[in-house]
Amino acid sequence: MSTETYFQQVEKLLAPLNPDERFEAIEYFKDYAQDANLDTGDALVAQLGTPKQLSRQILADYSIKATETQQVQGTKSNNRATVRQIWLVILAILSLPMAIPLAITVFVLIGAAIIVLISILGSIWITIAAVTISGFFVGGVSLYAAVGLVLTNFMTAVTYLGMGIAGLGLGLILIPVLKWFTQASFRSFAKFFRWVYQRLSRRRQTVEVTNK
Amino acid sequence: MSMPISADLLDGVVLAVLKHDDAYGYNLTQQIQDKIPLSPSTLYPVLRRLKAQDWLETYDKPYQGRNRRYYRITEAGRNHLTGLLVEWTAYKKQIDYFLNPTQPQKEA
Repeated sequence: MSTETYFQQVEKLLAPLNPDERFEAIEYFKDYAQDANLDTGDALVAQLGTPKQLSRQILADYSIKATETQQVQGTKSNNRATVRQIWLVILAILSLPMAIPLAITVFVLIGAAIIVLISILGSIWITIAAVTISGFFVGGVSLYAAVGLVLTNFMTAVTYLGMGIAGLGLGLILIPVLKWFTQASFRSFAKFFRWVYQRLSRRRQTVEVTNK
Repeated sequence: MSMPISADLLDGVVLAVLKHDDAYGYNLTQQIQDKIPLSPSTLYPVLRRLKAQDWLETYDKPYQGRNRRYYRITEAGRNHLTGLLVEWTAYKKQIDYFLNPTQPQKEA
């Protein structure tokens, strides 16, 4: 492997980074390779590791930031990916070096936050879902009634017809709302946990500042 | 030795080396590797983070037909280093109290 292919592979593996970050990382290691006289691919692998190992090390540092950009790019935010992010962030929070009393507090607070959020969002979700389902149900029953009455009692049938169409319409309108609400809740959930993580990981820096 | 060095301490080591003189990536790695076992790729994320915090800045200098990137400590970086030193001294004293009790302990 030549040094060129080595860096081409690293560049490919750094695809999750934005072009500026990728360029800067590659430049740093190209600089390094030239200063260290690493002029063959083998020498590079011996010092910096395989392209895969090197890129993984660079990317590890970006992991939290990377999940954010991934979301900004809005890859049709599928909920399962969002849930995975939430777990990653919770794990990251729990892995922060903390004193035990603080750790317990944080743990309990996270638990409480999860329960409160799930309850609030869950009840809103169930309300919307209930209205949607009853809209369809009333709509369906009314239409059925309308068909039965159309010959015997025309005016009542028309009333039922109107109710049926209104019910179905309500249901149809609420389906996208329900879908949007589900996604939005998952996303704000993820955002909340990232915020907690950032606050906690910043704590240590503020301690340093006050020590000065 | 297999004791991991914390990110804060590595920040301090890099800033302390740069306090004496500006350095480029390879040179900086060499200076630290001389005393602390360090893989060649360790410093990149550290330097990136320190730069993002404005604790150091970079400039390019031509060298043998290419640009070499140098790192220079900032005033904020010097302040941060002082803070780290205070914390490290206190921390070292706490650990030494138990691990190295034969040494005379100054009463706090």
